[in-house]
Amino acid sequence: MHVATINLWDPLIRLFHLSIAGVFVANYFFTEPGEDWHTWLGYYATAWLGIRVVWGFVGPRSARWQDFWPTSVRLRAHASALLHRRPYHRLGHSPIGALVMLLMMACIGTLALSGFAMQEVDALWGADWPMWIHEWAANGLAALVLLHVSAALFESLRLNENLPLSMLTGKRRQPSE
Amino acid sequence: MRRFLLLASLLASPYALAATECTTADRSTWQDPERFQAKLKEQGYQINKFKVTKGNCYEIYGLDKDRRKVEIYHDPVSGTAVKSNIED
Repeated sequence: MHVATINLWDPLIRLFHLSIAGVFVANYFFTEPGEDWHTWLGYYATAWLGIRVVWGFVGPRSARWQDFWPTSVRLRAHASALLHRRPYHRLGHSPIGALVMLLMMACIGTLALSGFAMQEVDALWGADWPMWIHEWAANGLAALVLLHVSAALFESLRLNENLPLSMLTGKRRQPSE
Repeated sequence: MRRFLLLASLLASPYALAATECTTADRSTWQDPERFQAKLKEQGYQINKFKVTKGNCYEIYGLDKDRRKVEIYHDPVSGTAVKSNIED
């Protein structure tokens, strides 16, 4: 059976996603806080966050803030479709998915700022509060990641389409109208 | 589902794989924290923060005698440095 596909996610989006996911796993589970690796991976992720923000203004349609910004109208339409078990299929980020994505980005931004504060600001060397913020943001991000992964698996089953794979290859099935 | 469970179980134990372990010796054999810090100060360290970590280390944040920012994990029994992060 031949399935028509389209290239939905551009390479920069996919590399961003892979990098952020990789740094999260590495820094949450494997590297030790304060270690060089932990710090450099944090800078790497922060650089990607900056690139992604700009890309949201200049990138292709599916990358643009405008395309998926979770306005209350969009969120309500998505939520009601979920509640009434109606299909909600769009070639791009879903509104609730985009909201979770923005919250994850906010956590990453908080991690970047608090990490910089505790590591580079001499007056804060050893201070507790930047570490607490850093830890809270990391745990918040972990909770959001769990939600994000669960939702991707759930929607994949519902749509009978491998969504995580699509974020790696960029390809999505062309909806049959 | 299995992937989900794996992730969930990993999330339940953050930092479990990362923490530096310094000793398994009983706490009664550990050095007195005050005396341990006093000894470091004699060696020229400034201590901003002293902590006992989950991995049974005496961890200090401070400055070494060259005024470099250091984070050092010590064995609380012998007092030797197990791991150092030095900010240049």
